[in-house]
Amino acid sequence: MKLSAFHGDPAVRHDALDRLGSHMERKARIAGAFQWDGDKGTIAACLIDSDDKREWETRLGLAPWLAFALDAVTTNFATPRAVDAASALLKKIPLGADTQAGASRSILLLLEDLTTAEPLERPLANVLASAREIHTRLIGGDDAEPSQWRRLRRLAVDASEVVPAQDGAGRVIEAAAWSPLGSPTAVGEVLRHAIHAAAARMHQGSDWTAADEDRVKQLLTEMHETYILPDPNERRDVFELLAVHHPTVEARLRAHVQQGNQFSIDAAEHMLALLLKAIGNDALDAAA
Amino acid sequence: MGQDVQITSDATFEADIIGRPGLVLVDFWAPWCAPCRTIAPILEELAGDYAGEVAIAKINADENPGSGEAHMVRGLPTLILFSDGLEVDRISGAVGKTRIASLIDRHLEA
Repeated sequence: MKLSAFHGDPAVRHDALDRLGSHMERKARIAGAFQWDGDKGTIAACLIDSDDKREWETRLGLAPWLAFALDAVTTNFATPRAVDAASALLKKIPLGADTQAGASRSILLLLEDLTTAEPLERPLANVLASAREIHTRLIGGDDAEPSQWRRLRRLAVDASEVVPAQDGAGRVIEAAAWSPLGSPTAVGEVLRHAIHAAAARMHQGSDWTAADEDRVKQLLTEMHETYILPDPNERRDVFELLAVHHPTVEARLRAHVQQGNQFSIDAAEHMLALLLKAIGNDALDAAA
Repeated sequence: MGQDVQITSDATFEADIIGRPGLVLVDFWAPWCAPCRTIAPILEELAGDYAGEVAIAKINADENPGSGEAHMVRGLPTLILFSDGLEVDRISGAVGKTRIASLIDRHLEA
């Protein structure tokens, strides 16, 4: 079925963004991948008050992969930035465009980005090349047989396990081994793992070491065993206790966590830029 | 495509899962758990992808603590694969769709 973004009507996009704004004003945002609980929802679900893929298509004229992609790329953002990102994404889609082909195009861009981020070892590089080939064919209108996708997944998992040092990149390639036609979550999953892998690469440049990790784990266990287990009236959690008894370690841990959150946000901003680029290419498909 | 994720409970776990022949993948989840909401649509897709081969079920661990306790579920989400009522594998956290499919495939081909 050929889709027509916003049914060619700017009011459809405008109304969806208004709905999102209203939900955010009443703090109705939840985390997840295109989820609506009847009252609150993820960013994508708040655009239509639903997590029904059919309804997403019917009301917005958009391919469902975009709902999962939007939620994956905004999950690390504070709400105002997430709303801005949703607005930028929707406004980038030309009115009347068929957005289905944008799924494989997005995956190709994300895979290409992976190769520029780090040189991949041979088994992963080979599987990535196969994934690119199969998505390129799909853009040309030739979806592979289910058995070919299954074979690609098997190769991806095997390659990830052979190269554990690059398992972040391996997870991205694994996520790319589904046809977005039958698996609308595919682009969102590639984004989720790509953000995680990029943030992990940024972490490699930080001064947090394995020794820090071990020390914190040991102290948190000690807080639990020394203060919480023997005293049923103790209401503080292990982190609050760590701040009291080991303030320097707790401050360093807090800084590490904040840095990690920032890495995830930076990685998500980068992936959002790639997604916008892929959607922009859809201008070629605009029906208008 | 076209198979729903089955909702089960402590009251029906025995009949829905333990007494059911073949492979059943059970998702122990809770409404407050963000990673659970991340993998929920993946499980819906897998229910369609593996229709007729593997049943996919989910159980709200908050409302049904007995089943989680009986199967030593220590964190959410936890996915447990049962074969003819016996646990044969499990995986925890917001794992990717390919990893879940890979776990199922291993047991389908066994």
